[in-house]
Amino acid sequence: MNKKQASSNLTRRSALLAAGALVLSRNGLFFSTAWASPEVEKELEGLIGSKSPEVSPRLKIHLPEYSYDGTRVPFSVEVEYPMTEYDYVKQVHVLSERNPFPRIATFLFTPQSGRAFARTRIRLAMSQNVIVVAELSDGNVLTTSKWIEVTLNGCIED
Amino acid sequence: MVTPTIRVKSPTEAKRGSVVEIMTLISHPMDTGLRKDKQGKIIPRHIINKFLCVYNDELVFKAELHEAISSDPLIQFNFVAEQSGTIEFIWHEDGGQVYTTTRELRVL
Repeated sequence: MNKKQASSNLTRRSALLAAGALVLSRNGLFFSTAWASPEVEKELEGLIGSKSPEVSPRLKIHLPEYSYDGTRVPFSVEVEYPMTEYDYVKQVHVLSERNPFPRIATFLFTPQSGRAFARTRIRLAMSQNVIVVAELSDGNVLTTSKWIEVTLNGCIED
Repeated sequence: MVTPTIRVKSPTEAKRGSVVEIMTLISHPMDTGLRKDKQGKIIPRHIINKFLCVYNDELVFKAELHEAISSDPLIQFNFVAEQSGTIEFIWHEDGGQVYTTTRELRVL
């Protein structure tokens, strides 16, 4: 977002932030019970088995709050974790709650990666949560999600 | 099938032990298998499904891509520069086609 837009949208931004806070608080509940869609739940079971992911602030999703066009949404994920030989992030799965196919990508890291960070551009069909699940070398699984508003379906349009 | 254009942004020199940033881009339609052409026929799925980065014969980064990755997939990642050598970038397409390119890295 450019500066001009940012300053003129201050009130709207604060309203959006409030909405975001609401969504976050709802997510707190949502994660402690079950996943939003059965597809995501099934997909996750295939990826991480019966392990229960722990909601963690160490996972950072960079995604705009809203996107007019769902065909190219800038996305990046970072796990704030030391990448040493014995203690590192093994895999990061990116899932969408309401896309026709729930899986977006899986990034595999090694201790040589230095930083558990990956950036790409994704397609989103509608407003939804983007879910990130990180598998650590010690067997623990971390997760977080971010809500994004999408206007134009990115999976059907060009 | 058009040969995809590959663009890689990687440093040519790096300090030993420093984390280098790599950005790759490959031109590809990434057809999801959901869209229809002008005649109303479904365009079959045709995507880049895997990306690998091999640095001095060691895998440092891998990405499994699915339908939800945008056309012309961009991937940015990092790794630790340890020794001078080659960085190999490998893209796997549906149907077994593989695209590769290499870059040299000098470690100081």
